[in-house]
Amino acid sequence: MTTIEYEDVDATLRVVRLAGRLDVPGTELISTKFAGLATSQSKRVVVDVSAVTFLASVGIRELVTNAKALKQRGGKMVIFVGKNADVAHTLDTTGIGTLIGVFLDATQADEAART
Amino acid sequence: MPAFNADPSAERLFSPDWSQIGPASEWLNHAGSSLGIPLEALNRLDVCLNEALANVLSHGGPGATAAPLRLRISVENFRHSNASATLTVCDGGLKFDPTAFTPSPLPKSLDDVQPGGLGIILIRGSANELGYRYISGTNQFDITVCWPKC
Repeated sequence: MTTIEYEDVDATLRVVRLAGRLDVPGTELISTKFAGLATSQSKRVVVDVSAVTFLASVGIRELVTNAKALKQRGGKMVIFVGKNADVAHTLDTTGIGTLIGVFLDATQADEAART
Repeated sequence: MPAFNADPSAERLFSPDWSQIGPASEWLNHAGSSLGIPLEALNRLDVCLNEALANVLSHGGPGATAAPLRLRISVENFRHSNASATLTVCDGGLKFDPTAFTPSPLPKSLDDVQPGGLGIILIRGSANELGYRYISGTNQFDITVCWPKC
């Protein structure tokens, strides 16, 4: 089961929490809501993937597409992976971490999104 | 015990449809677990399976959706220091050798990112060995992962 939740930490920072499998069916489930939450305003967004159990290329494309759209609207997205070694390895393998900030620490992720 | 199983393998046909990617993953995890493949190796095979099937269904042409997808998982080398498992994905789509495909380099900026190409990168980053054959109109893609024997 793939889930999506969000929390507006303050007027500028939003945390979007994804959980479960971001494979083809899982990404389809959250795609529309994720795009709305991540790019509807020029916010700073931390995407928390620490509870994602499986990340396929379709899920990475979802992250990248929305990070790009948010940037074009003047916002910024970073990714918080926490202790999720599998997802961190997947992001590292594709090199996406060089384009979107990837953080192990939640506080550092928040700070990076705000700067 | 998987180490002494005369035929440590499993095979299943799936309809060539996007809705079957989830069931194919479930089959892999169930069959692989029964064959004694450790979770870490199964996760890597699962990544490769998802990407391989997505490639077939996206780029395989009409032939890819005309013939069933055949998946086979086998375990080898249990008597050696390392064990390995090979997932073979067979499809009737356009001839395509994933081992010969060169993905575009990663762009330097988010603004330059274009969709596509990540699947092959993920497969190569997850597998220890890849093999490809084209036999009688069928792509046969071997994905091998290894792990140290306890």
